Amino acid sequence: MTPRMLRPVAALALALVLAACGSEQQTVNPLNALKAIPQVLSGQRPAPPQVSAEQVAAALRGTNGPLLLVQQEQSGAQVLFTQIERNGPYATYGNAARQAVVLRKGLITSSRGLGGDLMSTQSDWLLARVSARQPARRVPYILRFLTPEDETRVITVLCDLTLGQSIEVKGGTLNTRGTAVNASCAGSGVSFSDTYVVGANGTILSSRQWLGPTLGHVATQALRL
Amino acid sequence: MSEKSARRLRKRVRLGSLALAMFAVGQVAPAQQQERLPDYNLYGVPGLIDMPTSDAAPDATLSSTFGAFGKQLRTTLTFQITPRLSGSFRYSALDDFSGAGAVGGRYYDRSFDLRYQLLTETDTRPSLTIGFQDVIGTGLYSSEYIVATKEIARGLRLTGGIGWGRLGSYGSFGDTGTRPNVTLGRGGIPTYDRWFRGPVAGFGGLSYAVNDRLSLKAEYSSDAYDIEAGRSGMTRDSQWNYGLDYRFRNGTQLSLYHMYGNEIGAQLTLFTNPTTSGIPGGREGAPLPVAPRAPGAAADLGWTTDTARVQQAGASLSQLAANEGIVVEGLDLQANRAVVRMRNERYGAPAQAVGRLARAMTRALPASVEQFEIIPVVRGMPMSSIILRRSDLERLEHDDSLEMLARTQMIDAFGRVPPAAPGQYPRFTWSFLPYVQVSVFDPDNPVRADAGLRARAEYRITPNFVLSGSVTKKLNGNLGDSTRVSASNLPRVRTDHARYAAEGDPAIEYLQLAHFGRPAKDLYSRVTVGYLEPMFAGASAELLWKRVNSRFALGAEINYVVRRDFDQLFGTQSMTTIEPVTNSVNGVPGTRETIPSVNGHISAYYDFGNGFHGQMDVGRYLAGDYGATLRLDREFANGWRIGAYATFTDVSSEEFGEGSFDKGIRITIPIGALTGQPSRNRNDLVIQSLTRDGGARLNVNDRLYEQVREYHRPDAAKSWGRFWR
Repeated sequence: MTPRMLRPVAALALALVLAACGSEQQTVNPLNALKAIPQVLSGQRPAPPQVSAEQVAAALRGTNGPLLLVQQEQSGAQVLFTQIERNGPYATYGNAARQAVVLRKGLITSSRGLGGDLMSTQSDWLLARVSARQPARRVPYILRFLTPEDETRVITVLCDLTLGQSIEVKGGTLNTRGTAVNASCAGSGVSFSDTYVVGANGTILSSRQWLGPTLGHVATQALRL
Repeated sequence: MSEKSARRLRKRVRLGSLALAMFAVGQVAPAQQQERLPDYNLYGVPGLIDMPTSDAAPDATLSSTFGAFGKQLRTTLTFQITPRLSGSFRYSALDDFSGAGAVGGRYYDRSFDLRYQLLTETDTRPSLTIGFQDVIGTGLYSSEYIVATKEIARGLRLTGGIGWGRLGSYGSFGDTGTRPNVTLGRGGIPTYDRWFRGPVAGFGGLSYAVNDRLSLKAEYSSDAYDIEAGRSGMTRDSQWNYGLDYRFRNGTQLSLYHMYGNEIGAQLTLFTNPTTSGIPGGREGAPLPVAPRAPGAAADLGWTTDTARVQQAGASLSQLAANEGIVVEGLDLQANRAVVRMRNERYGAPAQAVGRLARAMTRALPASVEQFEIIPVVRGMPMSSIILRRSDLERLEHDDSLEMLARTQMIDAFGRVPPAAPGQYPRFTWSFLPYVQVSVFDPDNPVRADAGLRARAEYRITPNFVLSGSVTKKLNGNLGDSTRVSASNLPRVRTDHARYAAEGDPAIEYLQLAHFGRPAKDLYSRVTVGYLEPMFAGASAELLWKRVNSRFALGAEINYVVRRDFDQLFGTQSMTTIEPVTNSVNGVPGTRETIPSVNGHISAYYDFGNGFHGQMDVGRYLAGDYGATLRLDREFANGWRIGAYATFTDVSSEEFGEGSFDKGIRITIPIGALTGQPSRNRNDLVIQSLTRDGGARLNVNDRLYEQVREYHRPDAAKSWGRFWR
């Protein structure tokens, strides 16, 4: 196709995209997929969202419930979550962007809406030791993910737990100390290290934990328990 | 398959969507790429430059290769069907080509290859592959080979093999019989008479990966290019070829070659893979969490006598479901159980729709309701009853989704579905979308396209009665410019498609009234009357038998057809077709043939359970021929499908014409897997070798099987991991 022809074709394509409409929201324009391409081609990412001290203060004022700050290491994005539901030992934290993480004693056991989510975990053994701040060897920990094919991928690792120093935990309404527990985990072709700062009652107050091959590591910080 | 005859036909395919798919998916591939892709050659298969290697691509890799050197241009689609077996479809153009079959000095050829890796590579042995190149039809590229490849030092791979046919044409060291060169039938038939016959020669080469991106290659070719030398004056100064491959981060391969001593070649290969491309789990927002009941709350039945509370629960559920893109069409709320009539408009994975609705039910329904029965309804047909226990949802929300699957009961929904609530029907929907129609394989112009606008409307008079139509208006394009007239020995049921394309502007693609129903347990029905497809109007009736938990289904369809006018408006025309004047060996000009009014099929469907799905249709085709169509698809849980079909009828190869029998490749691309957002839209791409009149079926809309199987257990279980997504 000659460049001379390209322009009218591009104009036609644009006209067609603009012309697409329907009565249902579900009427998907086949050209929608094109919208993502320029950004992909340029390789530019929007600046990662940051949470300011004012936003934290406003969130603390706006609700009485538990608050959590999560930072994704890869993108640098910071997200503020509030607790929206509790089911037994599991607390679901969500935000207005319909992202969610589920915590059990401060350990993220699943995520939703982050892209490449951690679907569920079997963390009974790991959490028992971490919560008790006990060093241990070969503690099993199971993480489940969806593949792009929509099948479930199970990653089973064994973790060695060691105790670190006592660390100050300061943020939001928290001003206390916790014990660092380092987990060095490997299995199913992956290996990663997590760190949990565990408070006096056995709850993880802040952490750096691995959420899978797509999301990588996130840092968590409880702002109010 | 050659293009020797001048009666080349064209087939419309939505190639644009595939190119888009490969492009879009290719962009998100790297994060998920687990295994390394092998280097591909100019034939679009794992290889060096012009020679194959024994490498196999990771399972399910789909590649498209655009390769050119000298006067040859090859476009190849290759799919790794299983970890060891791959198939390739190729369309080639050879310039300055003299002799039969060339149009304006250009010769087009289609070819199909199969490769099987007999041995995988280990530390001590090479991998070993047997390959059949251009195995169907006239076999311009026909050759067979056995090839071995081994990494002999870090990054250095050595390949050696022996070949027959083309790959045995230079420097042969022996021969195994005589290789015939006659075309079987009217082309399009496996060239089994040639395999591993004739002169045999050795080929081989080296590739060296400088780093992850760049590799250098050198090969010795055993292809003498005899045909090209004779017909396009190609000369070779050397049998040695040299090349340079560059691999982009998303896997795309770009290569430059120096070939046969005097030619320059270049190649681009794009990759995608249904199992690894895309965002795992998608990007859509989080679901609602389960709202667990307070201990003892389930004993409170006071609400059952309070109409306001009952109504409020229903309204609240409808609202929560609507936020998830799910329509609660009806609700039967009892003290301990609730039955919901669900319409899923958003999720490609049925489990995700059910999971989201179930969580909305935990939030909206009174605590005493323990059993949730969710009935997906499609066009008024209840597809299955999915029965869940609320206490299981509460207990297993943060567990493995398989735990929930094990506790989910699926039974036939016949007679169980509550009626649609007042106000749901009638319902009118419409859309206005651009379309692009592409036609390939016409030697006058191998890619033709029309672009225009398509308006569709659907009026659901009741849940089961649907009046629907689609109109297209061409804005620009050259599809109708084809001057080729296809000859035929049969009633011209499909070979007049060029006239339909030229005269149908605007065209009514279909305008029909359909009824969908559940006549009995395990039975599903469809009756459609009106303008059923661009070429035929009439009536079509279908009955499908399928059990909810079975991978097997049986169907029957019978059609009464009337031929539509070429302008595709409201008129119909005589069922007698007159063979136009052509200079072909096919069809005698002026011959009258009559299209029978009645055709139909019995169909059997079977999901093998290992990712493969088979279908067999036996019956009478449009032209009155009797026979069977066999289909085999590789299916992926996320909705991707890649398969092939072939139709064999009592029409002989001679009567059928070029290609001998109908066959083709089908690729289904789910839009949701491309965008990372849930979607029920999918794009079907069909590459049919030729459009002939034998083995042609009516293209009636909304056949039952695909609609029904989606909500049955075998299909729903495949993507059950999405229940808690």
